Amino acid sequence: MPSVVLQSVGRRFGEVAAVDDVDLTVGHGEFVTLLGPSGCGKTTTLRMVAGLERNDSGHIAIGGKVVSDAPANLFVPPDQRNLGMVFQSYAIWPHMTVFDNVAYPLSVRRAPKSVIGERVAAALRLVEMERFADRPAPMLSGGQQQRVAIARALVFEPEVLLLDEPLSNLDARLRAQMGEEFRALQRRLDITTLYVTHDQEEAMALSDRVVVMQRGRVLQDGPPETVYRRPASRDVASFFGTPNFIEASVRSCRADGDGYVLEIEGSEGRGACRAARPFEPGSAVVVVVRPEDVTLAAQQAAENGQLVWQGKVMAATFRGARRTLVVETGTGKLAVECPANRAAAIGDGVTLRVDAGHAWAIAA
Amino acid sequence: MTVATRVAAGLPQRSTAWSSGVARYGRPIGLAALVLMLGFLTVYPMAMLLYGSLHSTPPGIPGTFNIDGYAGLLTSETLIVLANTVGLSLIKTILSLALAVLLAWIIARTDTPGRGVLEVLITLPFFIPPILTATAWAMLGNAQVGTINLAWRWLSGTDGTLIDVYSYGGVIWHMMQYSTPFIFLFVVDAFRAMDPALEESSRMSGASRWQTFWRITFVLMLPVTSSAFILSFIRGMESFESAVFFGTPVGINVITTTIYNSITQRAQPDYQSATALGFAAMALMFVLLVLQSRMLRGKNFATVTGKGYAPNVTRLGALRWLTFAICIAFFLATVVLPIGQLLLSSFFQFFGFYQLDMLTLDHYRSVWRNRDFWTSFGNTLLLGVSGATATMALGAIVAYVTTRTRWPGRRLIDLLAWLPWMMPGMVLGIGFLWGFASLPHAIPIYGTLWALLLAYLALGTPVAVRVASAAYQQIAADIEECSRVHGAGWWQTLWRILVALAWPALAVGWVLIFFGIMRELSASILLYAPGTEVLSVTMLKMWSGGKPEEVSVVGLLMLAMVLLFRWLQLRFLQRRIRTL
Amino acid sequence: MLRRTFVTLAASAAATNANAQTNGEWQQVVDAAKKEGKLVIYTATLGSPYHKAVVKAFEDKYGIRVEMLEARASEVRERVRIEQAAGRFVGDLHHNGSTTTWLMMRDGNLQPHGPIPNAKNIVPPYEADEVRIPAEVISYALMVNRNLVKPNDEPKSWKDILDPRWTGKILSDDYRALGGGAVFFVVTYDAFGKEFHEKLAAQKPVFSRDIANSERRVARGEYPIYIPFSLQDYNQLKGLPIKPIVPAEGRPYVRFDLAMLKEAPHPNAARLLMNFYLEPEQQLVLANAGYNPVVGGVVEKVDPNLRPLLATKAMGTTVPERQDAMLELAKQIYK
Repeated sequence: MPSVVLQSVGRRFGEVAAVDDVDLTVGHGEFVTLLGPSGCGKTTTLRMVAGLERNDSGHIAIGGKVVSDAPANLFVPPDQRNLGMVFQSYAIWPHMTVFDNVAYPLSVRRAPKSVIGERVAAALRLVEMERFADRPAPMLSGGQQQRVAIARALVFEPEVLLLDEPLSNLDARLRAQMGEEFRALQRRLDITTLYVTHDQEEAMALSDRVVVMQRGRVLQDGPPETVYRRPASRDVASFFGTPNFIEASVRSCRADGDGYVLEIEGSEGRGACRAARPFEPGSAVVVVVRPEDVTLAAQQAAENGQLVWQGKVMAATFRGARRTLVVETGTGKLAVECPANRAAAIGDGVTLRVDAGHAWAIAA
Repeated sequence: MTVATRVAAGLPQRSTAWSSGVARYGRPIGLAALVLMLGFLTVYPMAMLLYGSLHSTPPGIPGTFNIDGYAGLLTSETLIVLANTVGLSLIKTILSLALAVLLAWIIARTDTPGRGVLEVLITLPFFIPPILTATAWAMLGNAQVGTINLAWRWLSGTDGTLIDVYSYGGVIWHMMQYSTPFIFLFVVDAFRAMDPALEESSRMSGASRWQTFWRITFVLMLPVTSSAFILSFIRGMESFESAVFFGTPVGINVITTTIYNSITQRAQPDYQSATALGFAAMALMFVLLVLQSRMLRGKNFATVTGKGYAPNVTRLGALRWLTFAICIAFFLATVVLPIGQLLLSSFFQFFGFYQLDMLTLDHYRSVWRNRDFWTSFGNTLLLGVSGATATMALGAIVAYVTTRTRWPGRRLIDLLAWLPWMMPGMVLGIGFLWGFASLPHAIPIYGTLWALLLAYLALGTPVAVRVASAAYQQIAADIEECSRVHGAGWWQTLWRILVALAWPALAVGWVLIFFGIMRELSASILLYAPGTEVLSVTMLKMWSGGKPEEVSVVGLLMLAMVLLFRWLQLRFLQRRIRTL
Repeated sequence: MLRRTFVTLAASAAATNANAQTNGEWQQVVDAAKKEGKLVIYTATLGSPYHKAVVKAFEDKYGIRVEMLEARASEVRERVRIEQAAGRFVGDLHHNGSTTTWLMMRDGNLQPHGPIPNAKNIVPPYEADEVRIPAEVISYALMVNRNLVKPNDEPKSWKDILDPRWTGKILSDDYRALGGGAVFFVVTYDAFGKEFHEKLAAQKPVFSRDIANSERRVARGEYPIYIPFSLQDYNQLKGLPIKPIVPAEGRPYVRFDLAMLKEAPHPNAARLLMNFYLEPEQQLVLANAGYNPVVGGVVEKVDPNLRPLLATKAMGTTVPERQDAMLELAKQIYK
């Protein structure tokens, strides 16, 4: 049974549709991330699930119970939705100790003292904060506050855990560490999680599924790798890194496995690529090629179906293990990523090759 | 896995049927109850007054409806009175605000020595009955034999006059002794609660301490300072004692003295023109409120965030002795001078006659033995404690509805809670008298303690709402939302998060209201009944019975109470700060 | 009205009991009053211990509990008015200045009190009628600071305050507002004409409305002269360097009246207290406080300090019907 279901959920602020007709299902124990640039409606969506914002259309169900049904004017307030939430600012209550903060969800539900003591201790142990139980909450570092916020969100068996950019206030190293720890914890507890972030790497590293949003709408919903490799649109593709977009026209199209293989023709010859749907021969497409999928080749001979370009290295950026080259070709400038020690020098003439499996066509 | 299982084991679920019913109908019912209650407390007496202003006779006497009351205001005399009132109040409010903000900053955000004690001391003047400070200043600052002038003549060897309290300056100075501590009390906790990072980031951006104060601290404090400004400005326009003591003798008339004249100084009290003038004043104040809400609209003033911080003070170095001197100077001028005079005088037979043969403890003895005093003191304590508590509770709820929800009707509630502050007390007292006396006899309000309690509730609500909403506005939204999501209803959230975080400010509000009740006379004298005498009425009796020395004994007693209250409050506050 | 025909003034105090005993009808009033057991009096004499003493004596004598509601004149009147309009008849007796009492009589807030045995003791110029009986009289004099005014310079006549030496040196209750100042204005206007007040206005008197404080300001030497000085304040100022003077023309005065409120719940007790106020013993209590008594034979027994002041000519009093016109006139003269 899915833990969270959103059906044609929308929310307007005056004239602006912050969230527009969003459908979303989160299965039990699943970790779903809402990803998008700021203002895309991901936080509003999360807040509607939390009950902090009312949806003007559609309905929301949590744990099989409808908690908000706009047409029927039904709205269950946040405190009755059985949720745990970690806020961007952590929202640690400054007038309480760490223990009191974590105990709060239990004490407002009038749990017996003994149960509270036991659970809070367990929750603090989970986040390795048991030593700080008596510490006044404001006397904690950012990472510690974050752990307390997570413990607080978990202490009462929540139906769903909501996280609103929880790592954005931490420094890069801590961010990575906390993210991994949290993901491990989530797997261990098998707790349904809805996570909001604008950071694509974070989204891909943590999630079972990523939901990419823009201007209040869902652009694509799928496992991180699918969203990365097989973007539904140029917007989705460009949200992850800096892919190359190459214009081409379709010569032929045939079904193959779970997708289609296209023969395409560009300004510099022919090649093959894959697509999610069929295209009419002659229609224009945009081929998405990730810089790391381009190989530098010495000779010109193209293997079967490979896309090939000739060009000259214009710029190179050292990135530690890898180097990013900008290669001027007949199609335009293409970004190429290759191992740092095997890169061509600026001014070198190079041949670029991409396997059909790494070229992905979307509608122009 | 074992740990996880323990954490995730089921807790008893609350019955959701009942609570969702509450969620569904509780809000409209609660809102309706709030509107009805505020309506009864504020609109009802106001409606009686409106009737009075539009009717040739007060309620209960046959007459005709007309607008003579308002038409009578259109004279140059009224214009001068209005100009005097606004001018006096504006000047004193600006001066007081500047002084109070300076003092609040010194106390809350610098390392000035002795801040804890100074904080209590500089708020003392607010709690002294105005009639006593007026008496004291009349002795200190009259042009003929005032102590200050005598000292000046002796020092300078001339026979000139340094100050004369019977003047515009005297009226303003006397009002400032009340408005400065009032504003200070209102703003000091906001200064204390501010996240220092907001100031630090300004200093890091290259702003000087002075620029930071004006461009960051002051602007962030705008909701609370502008609230205090408006409250104090309006209160200044309604102030009576200062003008009647120091203004009337030299022909300075303000709204309240004019109202007082039309009610008490004519053979036939003219309630129509008194109430009409009250409403004219109210219209003026309403404009101010609209301006204030315009100014603050759509800005975020949350300075208490969920991130947590350690309160921090600015190290002033040697300058801290200057700030210390400023506080001491204020304390000397507003407390030591007048109160010293009163304290000294309370041991002599007469105010201001310091002869050894007149030394006496008679005044203390006489107050001690005065049964009326103890009865009224008991009544006032009861009314003060219950009234201040009920008022702060109501204010905390009203402020929550008006500042933290988007419920329809919240503006109406805000306006209702403002009304009593905008009507001069002596007119509003008549409104309560008319309103409560006209209730059906089966409702036992008139002639009981309830009448007084309800009047005090109405009179205190505007302060309570301002104090609470200023405090709430400084608490970031997610602090509250976090509580809702984790299972607390809005009622629990209000008490356990908002009120718990705002309580230092709410406690100050409580003290303000408590002593407001102790002092309230205009409504009390029209609503008390034999057996429910209150302190202010007893003090008036002492005063008109020619016993100002006994009044000052009572005043000193009240001061002792203030010291006790403030000491307790700050002790708790200190403990809280230590945990922060 | 009264069947008893004698009772000398000297004997009247002792004869009260005999008086009641021999009068069957009055005895009925007394019995009914005791049965009522309670009395509510609305009074405009705020905080006066002497009225309290009279009331206490009444309670002790008859065992009737008296509740006093004290407020300022206009507040007392407004409370009575709105209570009656709302059908709340809680007060029995009303004690206020003659102007307010007159207004309330006109507005129908009062009711006739019926025969009061002691009313016959009242001496002119004070008089009772069917609704009102005079309770005590406030008399107004001049007050000087003994340190600032040498005995030879003391004003002997009201007109002496027009002497240029007092220009700007007179502190005065406001003539443009109801109270002692207005009484002084009306009486001296009637006696000396408009010219007197035009000259007084040229003396630039300083007005204040806080009587208790004004007296002390004069005592402290801010001003040498205070007018009009209520004689009942004299006792409280004993020991201060002040001296009250009743000028040759006499003292303006204002009467305080007792009257029964409409539909009084305890009419007999109210009537009994009205009668009690007129007992010479009680009048003496008030006279020793500085009020002029309204019955004969009391002034002679007053404390020798006060006696010469009280035993002076009554110069005149305010006229309620003309009050507002006179206040208006005062406003024109004293701008």
